[in-house]
Amino acid sequence: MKKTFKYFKTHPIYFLLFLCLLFLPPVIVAQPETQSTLIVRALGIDKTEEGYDISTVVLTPKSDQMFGENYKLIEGKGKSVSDAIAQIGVYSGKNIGLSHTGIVFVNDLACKTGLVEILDFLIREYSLGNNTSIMYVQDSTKDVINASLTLAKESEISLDEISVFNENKILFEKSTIESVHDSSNAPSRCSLLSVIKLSDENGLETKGSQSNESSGNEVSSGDQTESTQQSQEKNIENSGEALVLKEGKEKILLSKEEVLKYKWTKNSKGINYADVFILENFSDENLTNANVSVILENNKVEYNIDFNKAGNPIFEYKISPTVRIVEVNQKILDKDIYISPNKLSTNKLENAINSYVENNVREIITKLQFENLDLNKIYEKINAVDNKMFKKYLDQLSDKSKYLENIEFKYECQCEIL
Amino acid sequence: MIKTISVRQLSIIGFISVFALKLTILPSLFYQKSGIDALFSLFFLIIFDLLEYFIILKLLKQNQNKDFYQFLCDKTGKIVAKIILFLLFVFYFIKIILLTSGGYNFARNAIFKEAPLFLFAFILLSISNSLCLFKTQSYARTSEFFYPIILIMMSIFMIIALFTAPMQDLRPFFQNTFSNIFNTSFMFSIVSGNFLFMLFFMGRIKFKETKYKSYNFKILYGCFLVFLFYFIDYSIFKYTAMAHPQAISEIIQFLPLTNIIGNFDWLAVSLMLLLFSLHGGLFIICLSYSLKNILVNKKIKNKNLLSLIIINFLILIFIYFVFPKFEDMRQFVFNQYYVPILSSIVFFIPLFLYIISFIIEKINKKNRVILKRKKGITNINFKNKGMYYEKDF
Amino acid sequence: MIFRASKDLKAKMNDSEDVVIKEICCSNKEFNLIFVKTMIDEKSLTYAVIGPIIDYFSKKNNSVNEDFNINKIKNEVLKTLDVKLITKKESLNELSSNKVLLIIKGEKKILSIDIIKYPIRTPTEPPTSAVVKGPREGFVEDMNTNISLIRKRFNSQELTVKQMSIGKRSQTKISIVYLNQIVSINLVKRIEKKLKKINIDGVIDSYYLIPFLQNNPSSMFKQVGNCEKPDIISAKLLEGRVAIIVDNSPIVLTLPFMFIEDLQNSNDYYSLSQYATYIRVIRILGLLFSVIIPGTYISFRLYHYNIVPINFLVTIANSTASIPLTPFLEVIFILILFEILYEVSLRLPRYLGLATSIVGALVLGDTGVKAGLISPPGVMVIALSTIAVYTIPDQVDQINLLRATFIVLGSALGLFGIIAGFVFVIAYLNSLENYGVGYLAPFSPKISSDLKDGVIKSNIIYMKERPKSIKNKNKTRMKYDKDN
Repeated sequence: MKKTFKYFKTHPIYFLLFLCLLFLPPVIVAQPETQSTLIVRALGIDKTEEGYDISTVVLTPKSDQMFGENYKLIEGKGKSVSDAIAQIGVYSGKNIGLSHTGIVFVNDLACKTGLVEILDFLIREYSLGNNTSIMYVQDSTKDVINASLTLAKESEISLDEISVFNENKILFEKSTIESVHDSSNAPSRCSLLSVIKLSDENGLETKGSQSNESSGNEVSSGDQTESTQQSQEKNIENSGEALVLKEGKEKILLSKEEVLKYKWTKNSKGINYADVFILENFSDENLTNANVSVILENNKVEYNIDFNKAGNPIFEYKISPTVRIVEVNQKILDKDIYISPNKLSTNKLENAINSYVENNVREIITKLQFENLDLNKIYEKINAVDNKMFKKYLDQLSDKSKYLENIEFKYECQCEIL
Repeated sequence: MIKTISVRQLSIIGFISVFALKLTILPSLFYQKSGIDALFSLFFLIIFDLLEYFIILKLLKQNQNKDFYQFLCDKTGKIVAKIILFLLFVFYFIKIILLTSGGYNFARNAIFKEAPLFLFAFILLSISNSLCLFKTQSYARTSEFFYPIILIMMSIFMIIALFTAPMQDLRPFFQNTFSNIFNTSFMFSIVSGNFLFMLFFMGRIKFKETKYKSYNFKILYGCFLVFLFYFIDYSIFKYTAMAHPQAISEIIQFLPLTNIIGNFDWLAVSLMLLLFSLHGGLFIICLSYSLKNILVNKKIKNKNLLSLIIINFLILIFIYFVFPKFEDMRQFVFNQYYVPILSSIVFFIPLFLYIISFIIEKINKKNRVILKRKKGITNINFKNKGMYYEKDF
Repeated sequence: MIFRASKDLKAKMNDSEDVVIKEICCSNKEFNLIFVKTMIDEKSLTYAVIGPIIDYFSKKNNSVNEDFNINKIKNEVLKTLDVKLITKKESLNELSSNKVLLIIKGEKKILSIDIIKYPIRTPTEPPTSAVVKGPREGFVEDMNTNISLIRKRFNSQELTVKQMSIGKRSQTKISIVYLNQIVSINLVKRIEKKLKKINIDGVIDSYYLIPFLQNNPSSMFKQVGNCEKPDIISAKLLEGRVAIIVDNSPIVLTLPFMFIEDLQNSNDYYSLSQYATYIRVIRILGLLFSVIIPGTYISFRLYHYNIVPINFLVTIANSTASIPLTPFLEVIFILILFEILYEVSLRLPRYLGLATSIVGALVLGDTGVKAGLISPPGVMVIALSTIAVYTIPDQVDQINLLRATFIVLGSALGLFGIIAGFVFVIAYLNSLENYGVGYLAPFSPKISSDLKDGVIKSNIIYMKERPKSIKNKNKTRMKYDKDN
């Protein structure tokens, strides 16, 4: 015994290794975590009058399918989100793993009630990153998720990729748990959610082999409910619309055109065919009544903040888009339109583009001002530049929440045609 | 005294110690106290730290052949020396408990979901004690070995975050009063004092006649990186920083690269675990040295081992019984005044020692002059001071 | 007539059959030659010893009347290089050292003649250090040949050889070789002191000396360098190291040893420096893969699935869905299979080895996976790690042990265990006392000038100074002016 003690004293590494071996026995029989955990890839939260219906898309490993992802839909119901998710765990006999959840869907009622309370569980749950995308679904999230399973099986297109595309190329704004949480704490209190819906005509077809589906209170495989049958017949449409939330609650739904107008107020980089706009019936020295399709390459937006004599803020947008002419449709081919793009870019065309942009921005900002929705975080911007003057202005107001009303907006666009 | 640590190694340990406890839960705690102005609280803490660094460096240069305990006994007497060592012991003890439970909190959320506290404490204490049992030269060389990895990872992380993360304008500043900002600095003072470890390396550092500017630059760069980290954290989570207690791994999730490469917060977690190991080792070295010299009984043969056993035993008691939850620890350390008062006292130890040694040197010089006058020695020449006395009496 | 002294000597040599006593009688002078038949050059004995003696004494008989003098025989008669006068006490030692002893009747002193000849292998390329370009000579089992292989590379007075014998019964000859104007004399003295302290029965190979030369003999990490090529040894001598050549061993030891030496290969110095840098980076990656990857794989599967990217997770989850073994057991099983295959391939003759490798590949790579016993990721991980072990062939033993350790750490303690283990290993290596040289130099302690031949291999024209990690007298290696 003494010899052993002395040996360990002179060779502490072996003592440490011996201690590590004490941790080893349970490891010998320990199964990998992937077997005891349900890896959730998508989460759908349907708020109902009774509580919450949670639909989860879980990864089910299959040994004969090495590189393919095999998914299963599992539902749970509960009075709160965590309760419903716990039910799913109980039904499946596994722990719920939210670390690989790529997307969360929320339904109409959830947004109307107030998203922040609903997302409280997800915000507190560390394994689910706050940069997880959220998408708004007008009907039932379960139907959309069901349809997305078929889509994923048939193609490599997945809804979380579509959501990321929306954030980067359409909204130019994050539509994530963090953005909703941030907006509920920020003075402007507004955030955007991208919208996905099921449609009969537009979008991606999802007809094909049946998606695997089981609900928590039914035995798996076999019966399909009516709604899932319907969802299989409908298409998934990424409409390009956006839902505006104020204080986490649904306010207005921006149409696709309005979203495209809103985009002009955001910095953007890189070519994207979603950014094509058309100048109709345009005439200048080169063109006559032509429909000129222009693509936005880059957009740079700067702000100029000032205060007028009355102490009201003046917020000026300085928009500098870089555009390129991609298509010219002219009925009367009286002039040679296939000339180099440099020659096509005339002052008139530039002015037309500038006024187009300014009008668009004016329209959307006016609408947002009317609805008292500070999507552009104007409060923060003015507060950052001149905190004292802005405080004076706010103190003047009878209702401080309606600070947008008296702000004067100006717009200036100076485009560059490549 | 055998000099085993170079100035470069010392500055590298300083660089690494700057990150201690600061990259995980602390940004959110700071934010809860004083919002965005927490940046200034951090800034003041860093300035104090840097001042302390320069004072301690001067002390080390002046006492190159003395052990720290020897130095304390010479300047202040044995009793005061032991009191100072005791204060430093308590200071570092709180740090290591914070590291253990805070680190466990971080690791549990990041990677260790169901792991018990014992597992984390076992690993951390094992590696920390091992680093202490090997010579300080070995610890210094180990830090030097990992320095490029830590430097490159931190720098790349900061550069990528700075240029790609969605950052918001932090203005307006000073929404809180100065007293609030200073109060935050005061309440969180335990996380600074990162250069006090240099005192324990007194007498073991090889000072050569070279320029030390590049070594000071490492310390400054480390402080800059910490400040930049907080700046980035608050810029990304301007209004929600209090809900992000895993600062470094959460920031990585928000980088656009995650959409391309995929989740790579394992890099941040690995970096933090590496830093925990090195910080733990440093704290244990300081604790062990303090306790060794506090223990009075000369009959104890292996003071090193005994001090380590006592330290580990105390740590386990504190993390299991006194502060079983991190919340309790947090309440005690950051919301009550005991710990900030202790850390403030400890901060002034180097300055106190510097002043004491300055006064004592002056007194000694006067005594030497008086002695030499009594002996009738002419041409009393003080080296490098240009003072020159001639016998005129 | 056989002298009594000769009979005594043969008796002391246990009357071995190969100990021969040759009587010579001419001009009334009697001589006895006693030697070990199997260890001498018979031609030299005949023409350089016996022949000249007979000739001398037959001439003397005819013409010259000179006083007989043993020194004259030593200096004028015998035609061999190495002849010395010894006493009777030393005669047994000399005979056991395979010298020929010439006992002259009436003389107290004995002549010891060195005409040793035993089978020596021709220097060929050693199997452990193959090069694409560069010298292909390798050391052999004869110490003198080895010394000559080194000496021919130093046509100067600086190469110093010091010899000693170690081993009570084997009396194995050891040579300490160094460059006098470069090496630190303290280092040589320290090594000599350690070697002189060795009190052992016999030294069969240079590896017997290693534990005595190490400051931490129970450590599993290599602390003494070894090499089979004279060009590498010469390069190491030029850096200020000491070489220890052991008779009957083709492995030459060098001190002090730094880890970086095993990262370097002689190929690096005979090819493009940029390519050498690239290959060194690959070696380091190979080292990290081999040691850390299996443990990390297990820890990620057992504890940290949440930080594995989804694409990897899907592949691993699918492949391991129906495996009956737990991750830890699966990895251990595959590891053991690989180790068995390796051992078998070492021991089997070449013709059988080929069949075994095919069977092994089929069994492990294909059938095992199809049978669902093991998973492709597991096989991939262990195979990659096993192959990567051989990127640094001189550290195979250590890397294998470390790999097993990290597997245990990863399984028991997860990612933190692996990181803590890695920190521990580095700290331990830094604590190894290594003749005043940092084990992980020039990385820690960082020595900037030595980094030119660290991971990055600079062009030889930039390596003007000797490595500062090793204490040596003369720092300047080269004077080179680019412009001239």
